[in-house]
This record gives sequence, structure tokens and C-alpha cells, in this order.
Amino acid sequence: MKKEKHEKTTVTVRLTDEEDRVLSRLCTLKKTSKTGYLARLAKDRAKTELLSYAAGEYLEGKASLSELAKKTGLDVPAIMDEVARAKGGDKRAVEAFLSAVETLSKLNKDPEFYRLAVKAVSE
Amino acid sequence: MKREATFDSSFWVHAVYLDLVDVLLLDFELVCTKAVERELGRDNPTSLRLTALLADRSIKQAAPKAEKIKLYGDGERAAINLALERKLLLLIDDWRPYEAAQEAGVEVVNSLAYLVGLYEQKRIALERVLNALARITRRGTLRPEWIQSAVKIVWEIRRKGEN
Repeated sequence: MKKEKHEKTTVTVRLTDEEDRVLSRLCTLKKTSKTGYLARLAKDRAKTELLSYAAGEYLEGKASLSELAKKTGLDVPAIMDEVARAKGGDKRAVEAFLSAVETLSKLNKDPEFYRLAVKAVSE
Repeated sequence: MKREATFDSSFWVHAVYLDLVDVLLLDFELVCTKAVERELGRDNPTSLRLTALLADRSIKQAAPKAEKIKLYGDGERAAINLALERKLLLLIDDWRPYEAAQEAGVEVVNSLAYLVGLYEQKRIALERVLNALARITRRGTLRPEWIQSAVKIVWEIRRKGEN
């Protein structure tokens, strides 16, 4: 297996005594180094914020998925998953979908069409 | 002989999500650009599916020679330019580059139009097409106007042909 090189960059973080005390307590309890903890925290937090930024920009129609993938370094499936999470089973969209089906179903006296759509939505 | 088609990342994600990949492979000779492959990332279901199909050559790889269209991100731009150059059908779901590609003269199809086409050809049942439309509505990653149009077309097909 090919080994990946992980180059390291040094970032200096200056903490107040109070901040350091809190961080030290947590790292003692978690049996981890302060550097390791802060590095992981920064990475996770940055990724979360990048995802949120990308989803927001996409939903506002400001950029395409491909552009956002390039800007944020995230992959497109991750951005689309975040968009889906942000919309969170958008009730209004589902209601609009069902309402359209219901109207069409009534127009053609085709209750089966609506019944199947309701079933599909509830699955 | 099957028609050649290329696709962008958004279409591929939806195709995997809606379980359309096998039927796409029956209908088209799919060609994927490196930029789209890169944008799909690694170790997620959509990229793993693509990687496997590229490895067994079910999907071919290609790159555009020139960049006639310079807008949008790498994957969309590469897919649009490849489609323009080779006169391929472009399968694309992101609406802005979709419209740009259409204006540039590329023949474009989104996942919903493809899905509705399958229903019209009686290759999938009404239950499946409505299920897919409901799933994609809940997911919220496609334009609601497209979904509403798809619902109307499905209904028209059903009304005319009793599918």
C-alpha cells in the first residue's frame, strides 16, 4: 500500500489562562494532547462550516455545485447531502408535490394516481 | 448502436440515488471526464459506483480538447465542452449550467426527464416514477419547477396511454 505523506503546518494559538485551564482539563479527561485536540476540532469545525457555506450558496442560487466543489475542496455528493439535510424533507415541497398530483388526479377522475403519490411520499 | 452521452456530477449523484445507473448503461455509451470523476470524491456510494464502472470499462473516460465554455466549475465545464466537441448528449441536473449548455447548443437531459421517458416507454411503472419524484422532492436537490413539470408530464402520459 502506498503511504501518504502528511505534511504539517504550524499554527500558533495564544490562549488566556482561563482558556488554557478549560482546555487542559478536557484534554486530561480525554487523554489527548492539546495540540491534537485543537487540530481535530479546527478541522471538523472548518469542514462543517464549509459544508454549510456551500449548501447555503447553492440554495440561494449563487453558485453551481461544481463551482462550490472547487471553492470549498469538498466533493459534490457531500455538498448535495448537506443541501438535502438543510432542506430536511422540506414539508412545503412535499405538500406542493402532493397538491399538484391531487389536482391532476381530480381533473381526470383518477384517484389511483393520487393514492400512489401519497404512498410514495409516505415511504 | 447506443448513443454516446456524458454527465456532470449532480446527474450522477441523482442517477445512483434513484437507482437509474443500470438502465442508463443499457441506453447509452457513457463517457466520463476526469474532472467529474474528481468532483465526486472518494469513498462515497456514488464515487465507488463510478470507479467500479470505469474500472471494468462499462463507462469510458475522455477529456475535452478545448474550452469553448469557460463558465462554472471544473466538472460541469468539462462535461459541457466534451458534449459540444463530440456532439454527445449531456446528462446534467444542476440548472444553471444546464441552461448554459442548452444555450450553447448542447442537447441536454436531466434525471427527471430521463425518468419520465422511461415511464413513457413503459419500462418503469407509475408507482416507481412517483416514488422517485417523491424521493427527489424530499431531498430538495432539484428545482421544484422541474419536479412539478415532471408530475404533469407523467399525468399526461397516464391520461393518454393509461400507463
